[in-house]
Amino acid sequence: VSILIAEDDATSRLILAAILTKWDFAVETVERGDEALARLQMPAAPKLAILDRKMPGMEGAEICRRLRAAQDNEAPCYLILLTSQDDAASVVEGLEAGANDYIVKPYNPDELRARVQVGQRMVQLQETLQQRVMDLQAAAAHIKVLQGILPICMYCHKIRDDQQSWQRIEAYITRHSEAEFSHSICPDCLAKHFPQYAAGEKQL
Amino acid sequence: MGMNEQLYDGNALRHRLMNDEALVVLVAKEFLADMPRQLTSLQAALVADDAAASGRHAHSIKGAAANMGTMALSCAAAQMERACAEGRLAEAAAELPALQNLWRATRAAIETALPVTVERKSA
Repeated sequence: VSILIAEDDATSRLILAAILTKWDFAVETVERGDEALARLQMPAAPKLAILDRKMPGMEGAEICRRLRAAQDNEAPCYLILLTSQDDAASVVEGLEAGANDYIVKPYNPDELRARVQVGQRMVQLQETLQQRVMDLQAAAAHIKVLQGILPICMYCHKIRDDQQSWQRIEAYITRHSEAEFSHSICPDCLAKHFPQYAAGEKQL
Repeated sequence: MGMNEQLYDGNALRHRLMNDEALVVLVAKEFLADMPRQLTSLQAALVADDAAASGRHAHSIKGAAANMGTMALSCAAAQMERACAEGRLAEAAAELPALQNLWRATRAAIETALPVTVERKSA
């Protein structure tokens, strides 16, 4: 999991980046709130962000609000707000704006680690869940094809696919399901096509 | 906590940086280099009578100082941030020389405690 740090104060940014790097996280840093929002809205953005509450450009809570408002089907980013000790009221505002958690400065490293690990677990769970949903959607779409109405030729029994091409029924079903065909011959067809063998054989 | 610990509590910073001495020195150097810039920005905002910008700079100083383990400086910046938020800008401006003095004392305490030498302009 990579982590975005948005913090305008250089010393605080350096400390946070150094600690997280020591714990083997990939870290990106920005100095302004608007830069953080832009980065988190890019493709392949970090899935965990630590946002200072007060920053030039945009405050942390506003970043949370905008990200949550724009949320699409992507797994959401886990957002941790950084607040000061005398700023308890802002915690409620931040959580209501869509932050997942908050850390009070100056933080204890053990607490920071525990909270970041919670975020990391959440991100991994969401990614797993998202993958499962995608697999299920793909499977459901597959089943739907076989459950829908299939145009079939009433003479040769070929099926018309969505590309408007006619396919032999076994080719079509093999392509759209897990089934495979093993070719055989039924007694009626044996009698019709091979009457010389049909007399003594019920089935081949 | 004695006066020196309030100026700079090395143990707090060391604990936060997991006893990585090289990192302590690196962070201290960054702090010593950056704080004069922050104080200059705060001064400019106060002179410009800009309460929002003054409050923001005081907030940054408060946070940086708290993270660095320089609590006296952090508390003074917090008071100034509060004054800015409550519109007492003249009061905040009157506190600036005291904040600058506190910064110089803080810097001296850090330089005594750690092998850091920073080229000094007039800060």
